[in-house]
Amino acid sequence: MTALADEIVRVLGRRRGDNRIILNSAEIDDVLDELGIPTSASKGTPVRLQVSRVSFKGRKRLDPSDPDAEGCELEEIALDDGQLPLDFEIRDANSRNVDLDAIVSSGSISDSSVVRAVVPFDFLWEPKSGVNGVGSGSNLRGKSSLVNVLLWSLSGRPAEFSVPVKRWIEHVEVDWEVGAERLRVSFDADNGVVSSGSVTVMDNETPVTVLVRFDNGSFEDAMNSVMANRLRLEQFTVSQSGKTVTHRWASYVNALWVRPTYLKSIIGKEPTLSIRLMQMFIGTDWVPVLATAATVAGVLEAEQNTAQDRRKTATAAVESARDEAYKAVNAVKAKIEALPNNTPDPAGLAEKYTAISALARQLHTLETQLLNHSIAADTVMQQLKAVKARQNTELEHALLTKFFHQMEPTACPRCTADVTAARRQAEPDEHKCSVCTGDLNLEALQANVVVANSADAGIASALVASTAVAVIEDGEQDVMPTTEIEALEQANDDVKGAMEGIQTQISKLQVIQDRLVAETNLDEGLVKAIEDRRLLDLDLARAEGAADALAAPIASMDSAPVDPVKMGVAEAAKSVLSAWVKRQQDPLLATISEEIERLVVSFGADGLSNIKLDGAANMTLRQNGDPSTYGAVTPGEKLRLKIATLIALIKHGYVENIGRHPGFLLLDSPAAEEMPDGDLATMMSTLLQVAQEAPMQIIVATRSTGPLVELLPEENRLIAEGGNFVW
Amino acid sequence: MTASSGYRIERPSHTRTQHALRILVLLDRTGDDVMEGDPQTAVKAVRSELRLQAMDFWMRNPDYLADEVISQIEDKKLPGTYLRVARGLLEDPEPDLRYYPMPRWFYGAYEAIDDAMSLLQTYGLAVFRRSGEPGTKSYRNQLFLTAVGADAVAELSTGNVLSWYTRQAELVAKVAGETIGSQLKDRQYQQATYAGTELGLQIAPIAAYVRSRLTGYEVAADVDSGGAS
Repeated sequence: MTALADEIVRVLGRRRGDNRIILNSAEIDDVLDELGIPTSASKGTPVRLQVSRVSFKGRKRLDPSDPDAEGCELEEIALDDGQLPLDFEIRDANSRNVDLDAIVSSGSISDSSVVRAVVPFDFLWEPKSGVNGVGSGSNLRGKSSLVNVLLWSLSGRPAEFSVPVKRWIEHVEVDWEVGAERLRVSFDADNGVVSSGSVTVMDNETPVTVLVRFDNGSFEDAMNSVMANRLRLEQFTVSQSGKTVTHRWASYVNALWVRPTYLKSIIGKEPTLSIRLMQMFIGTDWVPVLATAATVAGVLEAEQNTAQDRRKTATAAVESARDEAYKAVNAVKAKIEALPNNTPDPAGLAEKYTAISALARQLHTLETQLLNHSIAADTVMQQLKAVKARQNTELEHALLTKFFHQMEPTACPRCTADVTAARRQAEPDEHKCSVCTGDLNLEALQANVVVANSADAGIASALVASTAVAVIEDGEQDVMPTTEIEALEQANDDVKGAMEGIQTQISKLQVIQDRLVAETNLDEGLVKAIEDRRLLDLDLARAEGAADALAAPIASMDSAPVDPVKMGVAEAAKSVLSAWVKRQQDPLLATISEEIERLVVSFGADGLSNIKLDGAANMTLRQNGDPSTYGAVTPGEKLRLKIATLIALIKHGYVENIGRHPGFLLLDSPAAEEMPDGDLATMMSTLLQVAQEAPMQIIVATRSTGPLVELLPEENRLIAEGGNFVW
Repeated sequence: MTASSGYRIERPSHTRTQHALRILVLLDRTGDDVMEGDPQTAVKAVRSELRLQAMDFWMRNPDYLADEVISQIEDKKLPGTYLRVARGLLEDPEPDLRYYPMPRWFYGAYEAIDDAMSLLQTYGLAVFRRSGEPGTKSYRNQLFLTAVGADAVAELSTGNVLSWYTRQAELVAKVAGETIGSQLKDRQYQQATYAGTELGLQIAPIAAYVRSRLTGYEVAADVDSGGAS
């Protein structure tokens, strides 16, 4: 169990509600281990870095007319190689065009190539502790190239050489004093590409141990492995846009030099790293752990924010869709409201149509029944008529038979011979027909029926029977049983009764149907309104369905891709460590701020006061009494503040014996634009004074050689007088 | 609504006595005056059997008679009041009781009258005369009513049942008028169903057609009279 874990347990235990995380110290330690956050820390103590020897050699390409080129071999350089005679060829910065024009007009340059003299060089310089000066009377005399060679050999990163210089340098050797060790960084270079590199522990001029070998691709790693551990400048991580970015030795190197062209960040080259660099250089314990914890928390937070953003986006999309759905529902309802007031309800109308349809079916059934009954009725009627006709035929035949029998025959229908009285008398007496004298049926004759004896017995008896019926031509009598007629009439009555019943039903239904038809028989406008209403009802159902589907609460999505325990522990660790670092660092920052103010005033920026460097590496101050910040002051003031801050950090480390700044500082062209010679001299004086207060090596490269000559011992200065080159 | 049962109900056939009666009353109600050369006992004469057959057809088929009545109303030969007579012919029970379809032969509706005329001649009620050769234009059958026959008709016209025949014969006489037999046949030929009947088959009824035709006239008549009914 660690002190950090114990403190995190307390922080997490103070949380309330859902945020509360109950873990013991051992569990916290496990989580911290899993997150890669160290649980122990130590104070940083400064380890000194300084350069004791710098050597590089190669071949310059100079104008053949240059005095240094005398006797040297010539080389033709193709223009398309990108090789242009810059920098060292230009003898006077104020008359650059002269040389170029002269070169072109002299015929020494063609359209496609130039001729150059190959001039070998071998530069060696051995800087001393304290303040060193590199000066040249003019610009572009190799001061920055020297600074760049130092940075190249220190960081392993390609330096910002000009194109010719990159081509000229072919071998570099720089001896770095790291603490008690002397390390020689040695490598060949071909147009800026490193090869055959090594870092060797030296005992004076004697190689002892080769620590690492490198080539162009592994140079930076090699220098990191050699320098970071020795100088206790551990790699640190920064969370940038949710991603962890690891910064190593090369990032620290950027805080070891000051150039007027890089003043944006008060410490180092990039503002995002200034807080970490400052914390590391101040050197309070827990700073590296805080850096890690902050990075872990930042990454986790970024992941959580991304998830929340996704959820918010999804939620917003659903809410937007829901709003649209409700709008659609309201719009349809408004359209329905806008329909004519007398628009029948489509549902009611549909019911009526259904009823009409049902009635039509019932009517059809009844009419079919009526038709069947009608057929039956017709049949019965025809039968009745036939029976009555048969009855009537028999009646009339009987009447007529009787009527004719009452008459006496007068002539033969065949021969028209008269029927005489004697013949008529012969019928009752002799039983002979008075017309044809044939024998008569005696039995029939007794019934007063004249029928031939030869006639069929059936006919005779029928004739007799017919006369037995009371045939009186008054129409009063029923001449035959009427059972059949009665039955048919009854059937006729029944079928007609049934038909009337059906007809009554039909009439009733027809009335209902007519009424419904009248109610549903609408004018064209209403028909359209009903169709509109029907379609709108469909639209409304759809819109309400969509709204209902969206009305449900939004299901919680994969809202916790980040383990809340890890997140909580990382945040708590960051919080605890920040508090610890702040507690230790704040008093140190106050002291450092005072030193910065003292230095910057001595550098000539006496308008600046109340300088405060806070824990976030932000600087506030007063500029001639007005509140201001580092970012708001002039470039010259920034330059002074930046140098003062680094010096203060170095001095703080050595005075307090807490800190990690290695005490090496390169000031490149501080007098370029913003620092007059007088101010530079003042600053140099201060630097010399500070260098005595704390062990440090400061190399100032400037064209203001006066202060260098005036203030520095000869061994501490490298000066190219007049128009000469530094190397 | 009307409907057909789809099968024919068996109607009775008329008897010889009924046939004789129809000829007797037709002779009485439609006969012309006798002329010199006619039988001495004759009081009225129908001088064409064709005319008699045509008139007997109307006696036996009240729907065809009603159709002719309507046609004559249409031709203004009969007054509109006869629409009621036509309706009676179709709807009253009595004509239907005496509906006896006739077969169609070359000269239209025809049924031999020999048996019926024999009966009438036996009792001296009518006299039948043939003249000319069969198959020639001069061939003609003439029928005569005797005074005894006229008396018999007078007696029959008083009875409840048989008096219908004399009334119906009077209507036929009115419809037939003085039209000769062949022209009567022509008019009956115009009645499509009659003409379309195959030889030897009973001439089908046209009651349904005439009923609808009559209804149309009755509606028109109602409109003409301002709808009073």
